[in-house]
Amino acid sequence: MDSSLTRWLFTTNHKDIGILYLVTSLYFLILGGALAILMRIQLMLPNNQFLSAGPFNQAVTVHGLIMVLWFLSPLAFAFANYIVPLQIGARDLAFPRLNAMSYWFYLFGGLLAAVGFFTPGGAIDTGWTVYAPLNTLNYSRQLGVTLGGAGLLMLIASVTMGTVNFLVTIFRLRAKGMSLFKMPMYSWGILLTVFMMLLAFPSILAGVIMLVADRLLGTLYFLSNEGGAILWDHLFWFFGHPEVYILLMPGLMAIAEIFPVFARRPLYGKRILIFAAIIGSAMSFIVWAHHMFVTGIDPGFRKFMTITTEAISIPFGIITLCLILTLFRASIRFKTPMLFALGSLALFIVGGITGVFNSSVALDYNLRGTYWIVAHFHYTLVGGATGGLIAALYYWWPKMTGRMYSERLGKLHFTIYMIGFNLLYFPMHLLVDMPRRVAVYSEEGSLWLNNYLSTIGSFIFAISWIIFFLILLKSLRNGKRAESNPWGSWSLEWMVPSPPPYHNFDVNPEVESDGTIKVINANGGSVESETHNVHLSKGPLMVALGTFLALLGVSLSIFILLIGSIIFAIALFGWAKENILGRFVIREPEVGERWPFSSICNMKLGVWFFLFGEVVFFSSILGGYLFIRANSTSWPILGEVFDLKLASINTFLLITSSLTAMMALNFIRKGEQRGLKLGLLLTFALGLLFLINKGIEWEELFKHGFTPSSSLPATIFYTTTGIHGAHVLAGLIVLLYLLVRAYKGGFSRENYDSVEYFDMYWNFVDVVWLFIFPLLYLI
Amino acid sequence: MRTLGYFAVWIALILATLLQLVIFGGVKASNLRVISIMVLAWLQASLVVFFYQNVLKEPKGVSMLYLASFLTGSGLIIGMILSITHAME
Repeated sequence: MDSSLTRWLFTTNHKDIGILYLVTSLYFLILGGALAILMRIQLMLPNNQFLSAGPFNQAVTVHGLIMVLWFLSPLAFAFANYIVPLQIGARDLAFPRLNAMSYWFYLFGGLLAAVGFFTPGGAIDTGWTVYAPLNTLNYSRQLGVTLGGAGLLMLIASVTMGTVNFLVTIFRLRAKGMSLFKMPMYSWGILLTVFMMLLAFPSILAGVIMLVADRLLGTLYFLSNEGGAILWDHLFWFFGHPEVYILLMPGLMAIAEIFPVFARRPLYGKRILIFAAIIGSAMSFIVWAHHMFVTGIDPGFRKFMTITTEAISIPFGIITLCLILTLFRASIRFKTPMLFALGSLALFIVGGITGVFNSSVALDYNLRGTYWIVAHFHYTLVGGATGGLIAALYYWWPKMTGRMYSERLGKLHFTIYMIGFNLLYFPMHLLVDMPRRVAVYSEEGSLWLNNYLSTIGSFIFAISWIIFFLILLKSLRNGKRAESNPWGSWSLEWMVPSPPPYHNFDVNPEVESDGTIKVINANGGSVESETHNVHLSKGPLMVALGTFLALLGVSLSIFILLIGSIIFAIALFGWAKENILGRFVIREPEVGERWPFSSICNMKLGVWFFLFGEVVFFSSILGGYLFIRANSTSWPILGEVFDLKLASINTFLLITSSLTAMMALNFIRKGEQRGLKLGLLLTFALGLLFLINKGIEWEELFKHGFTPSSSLPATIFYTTTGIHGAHVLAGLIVLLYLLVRAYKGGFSRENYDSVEYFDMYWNFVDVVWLFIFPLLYLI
Repeated sequence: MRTLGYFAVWIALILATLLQLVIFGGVKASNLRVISIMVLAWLQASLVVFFYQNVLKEPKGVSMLYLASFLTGSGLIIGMILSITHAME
């Protein structure tokens, strides 16, 4: 495989994409780190004038967003991409093009958010939590906030694609004998992470769509008293708290991977640790409102959240104990990955303990919004999560690059990292009287000393990262050649050469019942001998580029929007053409562990996972409506506002279109081509009629002054039916593709999978309408 | 599922919608109206999920995860509503 630009732009190989994620996430680390240094310089001295309030707020916000969303998770997914398929014995991810598209959406999303720095008013400056109503046009008029929202939309799309892909890969592409419990811990960490992502990100997607609608269309979600700050808080923190564990889990599980190797002992209580991680991941969805204790929410609800927040420390305590007990009486090799893993666990424990304090309502009233919180989450997310991933980077670096790094410099890096980290963040625990996100503090009191120490710590911490990058560069330039298994590890990725061949394995690996991995003769594997080696596709990059330009255009100019839309349409057409002509075919392996999804194919499982995310997304949209409705003292008499006849006709159309879609499937199962075409055509016609009818309804309402910005009921009506309508439109586009294939004879009695996947989606859209109809029109 | 079965489900869906409209126009008591309309909506959704999406014919994991995603979404909605209960009194 060559190293040309074409390879890196159009690659769909998981290892290439892993490297792209690694480089990009480290680039965002530098960007986010530079912003942090600017903030710390400003806060070094009282009444400092290095940064004024505006740029300081932008630095705080973009630093937070970048570090959480564009650095930390993507770094974990760099290893997930590169290592997980190797660990489970797969040759690639289940959907390689989707994987590439996920990366490009991530990159372009980051660029979209960063473009804000170059627009009038600067970048997004609302804090990374983008709280309402500060996020609305009334308080943040600059384009940077809209662009930040658009960037987030692209990132969420990237995450959705990634989660579906990894779930299908881990469940369906494991090597023979690789049961779920035999999977290495990092793969377990990624499995739990993507599950959390699948169910957590839809609520922030709903929130961001509402926000973008507020800013671009004048809707009233976050400007109203009935929705406003608390609605945003719910949607944000329902994502935001699982996000903490989404960030933490890969680092923690990397530690669980590294400890046994360098302690030369098996992981203590592997099954217990896995069960604790599963319980902790599930519990992360019932603690979100502890971020809202000071907002005046119901006291009984606060009590419930206090209990769940305290309880979530139990599974994570068990994980920590298992890790510590792995080291008990062990003969530890203190190599750089192990040092970082040890340091990371120690810092995570500090972050975890300080977190328990925040579950108390009484304490939270005093600690909320102070530097105590900043210290707590940096100990957790930098000390615990990032430290674990840096350990992972040193651990897997030889595998990924085929080069060793300097152990001496690695230890120097660790020493300076630990000194810098603790000097930077520990004094923040003592700044309990200092509010976050404030650019200037006065000379009075003792704030300056801890701030001064913290800033000195930040300089030392920054030096440690410079050393880190020098180590990596030096290793790439003249590092010693790495053996296939330099650490004496036991998992599958170490059984192939460093770096692994493009196709991973020459033969299908197998895991025996006692955990022994069967000998794999990957050395000398010929790249040409594999059918899977070179899979380049322009589609992923072009679809992402089109989306980027379209979203940029929505914010800036119709011309850019037009160009973006054209690129997007051409890219989609090219993608479909690749499918129709069979240019990009992925074969599913014939043997492997697939429990609990043995009797379902990859694509179908992927569609199901996507729909599970959609369930939470529409729940968030409808939840927003119910929350506003419950908060409202009056609501219009529905029969007088909406035309019930049109809505009833639409219900009839959509229900009937589900029937015709099912009939199309039934016909092709029997090999009846005419029936298939008729069924698809009827479904298309009914779907189109639904949209036309919806358009007529909207036009009528507009004529009567019922516009998106006219009232809350109007805001909810247009947003909810608009989002549903967009889903119908997406279905019609897919249906058009299916019709073309059907008329070209692309389906048969044996080959009708795409029709079945479409039906699953279309029926889901129908289900959503079956709730929208009564909720918006009848009650 | 046979063709006849699909038609039967379709008829049930249409009838349920008509019943919702009748309740909307005829039942005065607000609580009863809301509850019956929403029960019918749930019934309709279940029919589509069980007989059109055929979720029970899929591996058990699929129906379990469908349920998990539904519980997650419901948890959010319930939490949102519970958070305001006392504030409204």
